[in-house]
Amino acid sequence: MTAERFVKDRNDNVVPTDSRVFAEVYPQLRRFAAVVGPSESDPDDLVQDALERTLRIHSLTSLDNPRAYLSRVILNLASNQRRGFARAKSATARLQLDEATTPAYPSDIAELMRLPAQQRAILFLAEVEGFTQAEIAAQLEMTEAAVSKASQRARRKLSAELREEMR
Amino acid sequence: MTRLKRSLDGLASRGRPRGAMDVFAEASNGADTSASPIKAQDRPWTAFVAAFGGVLVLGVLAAILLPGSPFNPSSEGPTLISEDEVILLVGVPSDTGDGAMIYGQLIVGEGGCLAVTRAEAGTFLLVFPAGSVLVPGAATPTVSVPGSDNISVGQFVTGGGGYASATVNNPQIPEIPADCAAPGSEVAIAWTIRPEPTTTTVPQMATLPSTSPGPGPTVPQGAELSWYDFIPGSVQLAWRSTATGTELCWRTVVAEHCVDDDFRAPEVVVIPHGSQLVVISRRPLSGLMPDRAILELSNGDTMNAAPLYQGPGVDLVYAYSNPIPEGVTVVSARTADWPAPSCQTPPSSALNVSGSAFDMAVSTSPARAGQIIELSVARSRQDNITGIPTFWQCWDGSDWINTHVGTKMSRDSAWDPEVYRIESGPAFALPGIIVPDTFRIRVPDLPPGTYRIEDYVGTELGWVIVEIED
Repeated sequence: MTAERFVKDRNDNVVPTDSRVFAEVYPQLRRFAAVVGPSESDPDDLVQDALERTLRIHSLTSLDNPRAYLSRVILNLASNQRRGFARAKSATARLQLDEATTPAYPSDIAELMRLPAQQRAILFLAEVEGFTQAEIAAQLEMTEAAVSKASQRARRKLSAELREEMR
Repeated sequence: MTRLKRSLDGLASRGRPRGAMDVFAEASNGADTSASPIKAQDRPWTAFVAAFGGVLVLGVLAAILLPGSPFNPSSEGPTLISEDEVILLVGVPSDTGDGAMIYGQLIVGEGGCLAVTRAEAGTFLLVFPAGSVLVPGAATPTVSVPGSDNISVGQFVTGGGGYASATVNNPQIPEIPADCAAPGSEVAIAWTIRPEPTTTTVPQMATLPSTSPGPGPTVPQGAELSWYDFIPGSVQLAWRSTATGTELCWRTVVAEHCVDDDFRAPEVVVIPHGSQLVVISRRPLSGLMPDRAILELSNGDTMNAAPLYQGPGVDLVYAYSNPIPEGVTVVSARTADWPAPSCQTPPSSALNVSGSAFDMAVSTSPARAGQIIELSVARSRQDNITGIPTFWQCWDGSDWINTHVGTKMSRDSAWDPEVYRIESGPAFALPGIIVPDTFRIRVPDLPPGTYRIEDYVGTELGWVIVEIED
């Protein structure tokens, strides 16, 4: 059985529950996690960890913008995981295992994965999700100036091939 | 679409989604994912194709026949090609590399759509790389794939790409005929695909050839194992049936062993790796992914194994990389618990219950750890339903955080109430119960101090302060 808060009001109407709220934002969160998470991590694990941490202190129904809140938690976890996986790679080296144990993401993906998670998040929200800088700033709890600066920094790090096709 | 946008979009589609309800269930209380509460009628797209499937197929076929159709194979968009009752789905061009592994046997699946199947993972509709076409007049349905040998139905294929839900509108794939999309079905979107050679020609280990490019099928008892390189050059894994379930077998260049496959964190399997160790486990049904494995050695030392790798089939791998001294053995191993929350004495401002949306009370406070007490909820909210579960909380210095989840029992229940640590324990819950009501709850095993019990009625939050004494 699940612990879904399946509740009804006195008129027998089903009121919003955490699971319903989560189901609505899950597709976007998963895509976001796939972009900002390290290549070694499963996006669903990242979403699940973020949700679990959030549910420990908040009901999703109590949040003004569950998607934005969970996105921030995912981004924080992704940044932490990046450091964790750096330690794992060090362990791999000590074991002298084959390089092929680390999933390879060649070409453009590899280039994107070299960017910090926050910069990938900003590029993704702007380029794919179509958010304005103001909306991204609100979602990630940053200032617009910081979003603009991080975006420019990310774009400068990308290769000429990717940059020249940018709008 | 710009190249950057396409790359980001490809990155966003990596991996195989588990689905919202599975993720939610695991995150919230560790429910068995096989018992996902999703029903077909809850998926709007599925309900739509179920209702209008025939119309959809006719529409798609008509579109194929029309000149200038967007389904024209030469176009850059996703295409659908139908010939001799076989339907080939073709995706958009991608230069984003191999991504997730796609492998298995090519079959003609539901509704005539080509699909890839493998025993341990099921069947996925297969979207072929851009430019793929059906070979006309072939005795067996055969696909010509740019940059690859032709692939015929029945052959094993391997490639890379991603997985997506068939019920989500995805611009990378053509609209899927209703007959091909069973409820909950998934689509493997191949950016590269090629036929598997009929014999293994490139063994990863000279003396230990693998026989499967990825996690192979669970073979029957006594059958030859289908080994794949879990950690190339070091550890291979395979599965087989037993009289009581399934065994996971591992082998290295020096050893081979099979264990019961029914293990999950905190349980681990330890694989000797020369003088070092590889420790494998699976993510717990509930709780965070453990950050390390703990090994107790015969010389009395306790060692930590760091996370190493997440691989297919077994998703947690830890490595203890320092050499184990000669003659020393591992006497026990498990994944670590997450540290207990750091609980502090709450300030008086945090003890204010006036913000609680309804009345709650406990029969005994102070209470002792492990004692069963009564919790009364919302006598003023007659006819509402109190939700599940109840959270036991402590003050972490800045906020109340959940430490345990309590299951609530009705007055007639013969079961004992129980509490579980949020991070590691399985939890279950009962359907909502009409309030006002009084439940028995078990006080968690926590040190003396001031705690809070939080509960919901409707969507409103209530709480009560409770003390634990020695």
